[in-house]
Order: sequence, then C-alpha cells, then structure tokens
Amino acid sequence: MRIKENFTVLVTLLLLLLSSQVTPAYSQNDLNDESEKIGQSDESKVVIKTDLQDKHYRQALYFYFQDDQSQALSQVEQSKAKLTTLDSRSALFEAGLQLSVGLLQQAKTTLVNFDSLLTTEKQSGKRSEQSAKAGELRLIALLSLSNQYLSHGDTSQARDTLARIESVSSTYYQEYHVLNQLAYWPDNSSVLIAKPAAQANASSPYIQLNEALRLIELSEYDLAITALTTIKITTWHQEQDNFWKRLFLDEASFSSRSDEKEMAVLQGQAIQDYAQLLLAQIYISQERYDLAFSELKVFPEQSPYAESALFLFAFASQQVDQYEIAFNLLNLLYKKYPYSQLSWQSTELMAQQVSEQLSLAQGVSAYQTVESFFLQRQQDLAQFSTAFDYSSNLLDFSPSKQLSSEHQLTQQSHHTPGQTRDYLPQSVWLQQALYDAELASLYQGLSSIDEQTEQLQALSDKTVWLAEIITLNQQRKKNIIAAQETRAKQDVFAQLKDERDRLAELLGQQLANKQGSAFANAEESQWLDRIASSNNALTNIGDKKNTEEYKQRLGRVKGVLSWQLAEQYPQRAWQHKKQLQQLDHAIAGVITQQQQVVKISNTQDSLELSIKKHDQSVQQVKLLLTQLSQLREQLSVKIREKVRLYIDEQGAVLAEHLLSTRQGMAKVLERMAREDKRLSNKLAPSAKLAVPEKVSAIAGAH
Amino acid sequence: MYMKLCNVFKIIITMAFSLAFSSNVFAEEKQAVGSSSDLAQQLEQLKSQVLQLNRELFILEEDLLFPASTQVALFVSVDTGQFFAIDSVEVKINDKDVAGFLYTKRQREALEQGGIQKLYLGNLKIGQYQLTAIFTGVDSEGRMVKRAAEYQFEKDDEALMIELKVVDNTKTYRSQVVVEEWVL
Repeated sequence: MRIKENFTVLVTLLLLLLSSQVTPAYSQNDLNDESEKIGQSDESKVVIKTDLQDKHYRQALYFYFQDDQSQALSQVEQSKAKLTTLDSRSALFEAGLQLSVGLLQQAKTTLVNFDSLLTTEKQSGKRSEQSAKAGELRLIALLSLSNQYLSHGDTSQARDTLARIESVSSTYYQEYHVLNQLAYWPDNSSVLIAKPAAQANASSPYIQLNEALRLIELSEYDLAITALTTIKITTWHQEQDNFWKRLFLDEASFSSRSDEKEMAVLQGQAIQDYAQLLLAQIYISQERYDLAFSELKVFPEQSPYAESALFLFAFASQQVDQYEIAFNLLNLLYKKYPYSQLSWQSTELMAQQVSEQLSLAQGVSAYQTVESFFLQRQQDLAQFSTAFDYSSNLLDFSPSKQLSSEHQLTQQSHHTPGQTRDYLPQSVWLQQALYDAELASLYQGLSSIDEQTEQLQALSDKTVWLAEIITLNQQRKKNIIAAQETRAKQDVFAQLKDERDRLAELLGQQLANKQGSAFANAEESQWLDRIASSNNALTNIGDKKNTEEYKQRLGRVKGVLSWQLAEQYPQRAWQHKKQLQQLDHAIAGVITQQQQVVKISNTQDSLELSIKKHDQSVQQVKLLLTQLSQLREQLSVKIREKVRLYIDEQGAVLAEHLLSTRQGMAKVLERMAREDKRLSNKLAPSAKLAVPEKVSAIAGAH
Repeated sequence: MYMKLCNVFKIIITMAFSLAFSSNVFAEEKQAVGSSSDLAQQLEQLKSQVLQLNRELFILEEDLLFPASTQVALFVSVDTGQFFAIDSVEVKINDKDVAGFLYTKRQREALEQGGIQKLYLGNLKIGQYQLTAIFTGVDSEGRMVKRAAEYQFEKDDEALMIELKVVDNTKTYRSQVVVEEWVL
C-alpha cells in the first residue's frame, strides 16, 4: 500500500482544482496570492459588536474637519443607506451639514424628526454616551429650527419652537436669547425666556446690541445711549464655542486657531465701532451735534463702518461749524467711495459748503466739478449696463482677479469646496448691487447650479465606468457558469472525494492492524519485496539443500527491517494522519469556494438589479442636467431683471443728484449775478447789461 | 436733508446689523426669500436629488466592485496625536503593498479631532492573511519615528473592516498602533 504516494497525488490534484476555481472577487485590484496558505490565528476575540453608528459618524467627521461639508454630507448619506437609520447624534450632524450646504428644507425635516428620534432612543433604553447628551442635542435642534423659521420670516413658528425649550445650558444661552429677541422683535422677550441652567453670560454683545436697537426703535433714546456706551467701552472676549455651535451657528470656518483669534479681535472691534456709530446716530437725530462730533472724532479709520462714520462725522462737523474738517471729510468721502450714495450726497454738501463758506466763483467751480463727477458716473453706469446686457454667462461677467486665481488654485489642487463659491465681481456697480440680499442669493444660486452641474458631469462619467464594470461582470458570470458546468460534467470533485474516502478507509485499516510495513518507504518496500522473494525461494528449495544459514541471515535482515519499521511506525502513522487532516482542510476550502461560485452563478437577479439601477441613474443624470440648465436660465433672467432695476434706480438717483447739483449751481450763479449787478451798479452804471448776459452764457453751457 | 439722512441711517443699521450677527435670521432677508423662494426651492430640490443620485451610484459602485463576500476595508484613526503626529502610513497584506498615504496638516488635524479615514477598500479571497502597517510621524520631541503593527486575520464571506488606531499611551509617553477588527 503506497498510502504516502496516493496522498501526494491527491493533494496535488486538490491544489490544481483550487487554482482552477474562479476568483469570486470582481475587482481588478484584488489579492490573488497565497490565499491557499493554511494557517491558524491563535488570537482570541472578544465578541462585542462594534458601534458602527459611531464609526460612520467619525468617517463623516474626517471630511467635516477638512472643511469639506458636501463630502461629509455624502458620507452621512451613504452611512444612512448602509445602516438603514441614523442615531440622534448623526441625525443632528446631518441636519447641520444640510444647513451648511443650503438644503434648508431637508434640514428642517431632519430637525423636526429629531425630537421623535430622541424619544425612540430613550424608549429603546439606549444608554450610550450620545444619548446622555440627548438634552443638549434636543436644545441645539430646537435652536436651529427656530433659526430656520426666522430666516423664512415665520416668527409664529419660531416662537412656538422656542417655547418648547424648557431649560438652557449656559453654553447656548446667548444664541437662545438672541433668537428670542428676534422672534418677539421689537417686544421685550426677556420675561418669556427660560432661565439658564447655570451661571450664563447674558451680556453678550449681540444681546446688548439687539436690546439697544430695540430701544432706538421704541424711541427710548436715553436707555439706548446707556446700553451703547456700555457696549462701546467693554472689551469683548471670544465666546467659547463647541463643535455643535460651530456646525449650526457659525458661518465662517478658519483654517487655523490664529486666524480664528484674529477674527475674534476684529469682531470685538467691529461691535464697539458699531455701538459708537449708533450712538452718533442717536445724537444727530436728537440734534446734539457736538456729542456726535466728539463721538466720531475718535472713530477708527480701519473699520467696516468707516464710510458711514465718515459721512456722519462730516455732517456733524458742518453742524458744529467745523467747516474745514467737514470739507476735508466730504472731499475724502467722494474720492474714496465714488460709487456710494453717501459719497454722492457728500459731493453736494461739499459744493454747497464751498459756495457758502468760500467765494461764489469757487462755489460754481465746485458745482461744476460735482456735475462732471455725476456725468462721469452716469457714463460709467451706461457702460456697465451695456456690458452686462451683452454678457452671455453672468458668472463670467467681470470676475474678480482674486477669485479667478483662487479658482485656478482650487482646480490645481483638486480640492472639492464644501460650500458654494461666492461670486465676487470686479465691477463696483455689481458689487454694490449685490448688497441686495435677494440678488446675492440669486447669484449664489447660479454658482450652486454650476457646481451641481459639474458634480453631475462627474456622476455621468461614473455611470459610463459602471456600465463597463457591469459588462465585465456579465462576461465573468458567463465564464463562471461555463466553467462550473464543465466541472460538473467531468465530475472531478466527486472522484477526488471518493479517492479521499478510500484512502481514509485504508489508513484506518492500517492503523487498526498496526502493521509496520504499511508505512514503509520505497527502499524499505523494495527490501520487503526482496525478503519475501528470498523467503519464497528458500521455501521452494525446501530440504533439497542446506539453507539453514540463509534462513538465519534472512531472519536477521527481516528482524532488522521489522525493528526499523516498528521504530518508524508512530511517526509515520502520525504523518499520514496529519496529511489526511490537511487534505480534509483543503477539501473544506474547495467546498467553500465551490459554494461561493454557485452563489455567484445564482446571483443573476442582483446583477440585473444593478443594471436596472444603472439605467435609472443614467436617465436621472440626463434629467437633472436638463432641469439644472432650465433653472439656470430662469435664474439668469431673474438676475438680469434685478440688475436692470438696480441700474434704473441708480440712474434715477444720479439724475436726481445731477438735477439738484445744477439747481444748486444755478442758485449760486443767480447770487453771483445779483452780486455782480449790485457791484456793477455801484461801480459803473453803463455796464449794467453785461452781467445778465454772462450769467445766461454760463447757464446755457450746462 | 434730515429725512434723507434718516433713511441712510436705516440702511446703515440694517447692513451693520447683518454684519454684526453673521447669521441668516434677519428681517431684510425675508423679502429675498419671498420673491425668489420658488427658484430657491427648485434649486434645493435639485441639489437634494443630485445628492441622492450620488449616494445611489456610490452604493452601486461598491456593490459591483467590492461585494461583501470579498470586501475588505482599512481605516485609520488617531487618538489625540499627543505623542505622535502622523505623517504617513504604509499597509501591506501578505507582504504586498496595498495602501499608502501621506497626510497634510489638515488631514492630520481632522484625524486628531476624531475623524476616521477610509484608507483602503479592496477585495480578498477567503483565507488567512497577515497585515502589516507602518506609520511614520514625529514624536513629542520632534524626532522622526516609526510605529508598526502586525495582524493576522481571516477573511470569510462577510465584509471585513479593520481599523488601525494610533493610540497614545500616557504611561510610556509613547504611541502605539492597535488593530481593531470591526464586529459587524
């Protein structure tokens, strides 16, 4: 019995069979090597189910912390599809991301569902770390929802939502207070709001500013002045914020902490500047020009409110007879901000001041300068109007250089921006027009459409790639089925199994008989054969010859060989048992793979489903591209309407200013004529007709 | 002139108010939403549909390219990065390079703040494998250091997720790589 040889042949056959199995993986980058290696991992595993909700949430966080909100949202959406549902924390995160990418309606729906999700989690007895924070999450959801209602002007819904808040932690108290102020504006909401759970800082600059604005609106100026004075002299520190606050309530995100600190300092200064500006405004409305003058005298030059402060300061200076300061300020204002309406007013004020404070001739000259300034603006406006009308793609019209270079950098680094790029035009007219929130929002919509179109193009490319993969899979499946059928016909696997069973039986018998010769190697077998043939030969000779010595010698050889075989027996028996085990293991592997192949062969439905899904996606891409293109057209029409309206308004304002400048100039000329007439009557009565002629000549020129 | 001035003040107040609050909750935006709400709503719907389509195509792609029976995914996470600022990672399965990544500052910070990065998604046949992960980075004293981990795993016909966690050890003031196989 050559058990060992038989085993070797069988293992080789099995390995051949294994390698002929079709790889069940579909990918091109799978690892095909060494899978047949058999090993054992001794590591013991404690079976505790992984918190997949947490793992998926953190995968989205990875993108969020890189400021890639849209990718983070995609990740959350994918997680939702894989996990079927999201836990409260992920749902809240989803809502925050939806808000940041402009999906307000979806965010609102998510937040409305959030409350019920929390209740469900509570009922199901989930006591995870997340649900311990359920109260905080609920508060954030309600605050965000109120914010949404307020942004849509639905104050009653906002009030109802805020009323559902029973207690507020100190961290969120400021947001809560501000939202209350806005929901009940201009009524005093302080009696309606919940008290903070702990010591909360109610002296937030925004709360104070809102309160001061409310007092101004109610004409309670003394109280407003006190409040604004406090804001003005207080040094505002950066508010401590946490992750959720940043996600929902902050628009800006900063690349570094130093940027964040710098911005906090600037914001603190801007709050103080704004309070100062409001104070000056109250003083001017109360005709307390000296106070307004001293307030604005120390107004910082580098402030976001510099233009308004400059104008107010010039006006107050005029009222307190500081004409030189007023003149310089007005002059500065119109040169620095030539396209602003405040500057247009200041030019008229300046010409008026010159004609009143200096000579009439200088007044006429100032009016002429102002007139040419307005004519120049009108010309600019007309040029802008024509260029704008001729622009085919509104986002390509007068793009800012900074934006273009940033865009190029973005393209180079293949960075996917999280939020919609803002359109920043180079044209000052358009920059000013974009102060209109509706127009800005329309432009943002346009940018957003372009981004969505880009994304859809990428998805369209993906559908092409997926079509190729589907074709390859179909081909593979065919090959698998064909190979399977061939193997089934040849019945190789069944033959191998039979052979294994036969060998196992044989081994069992040999082990039971405990015959040392059963596991003899080739040389030993040869020796055994020779001994047997020698024995036969001796038996045949019988008594014919004296063979006693031969028999003894043969007995000795046989004894030695038997002793050797007996010595080797346990080791060889163990080797054969081990080989049988290995064979069984290999057979088990083959069975699993065969089952896998059968599974793949029977998954025709899933591939057909994939094909169906793919076809639907292709149709969907086409449909969405068409819809986006139509929407872009509609938005462009709307933007053109709005910009036309803006141009007309600016044209009308300029015309009004031009007219009033000419009227002012005519008045000065009239005064000049009267003066000249009076003077000429005094000095030379014969020349009395000359002055009116001069006046009409100057007036005719305009 | 005074009336004009008052109007200007109103504009200033409205603008400044918006700037100061940096939020979307102001009255002047009510008008904007009201007049272009239809278009905004349409755009929002389209955005939502694009997002949904993106999700569906992603799942389809994963189903086709990485079916659960062969799928193996590797993830990287960082504890706090106190003793090890991650710079790069290389992963081998059965001595074959399967993934490598060089981290930017932003990506490193995203990991240190709790993010998990999906490093690799591929296919493996059923069987035993050995995974080797080598992380390079900078320790708390600014020296370039390497941290490595080896892990034996068995791929069956279910999707396999393995997380490579760079964990700070406060006792040894060193970080170490811990391998966690997700139990699905």
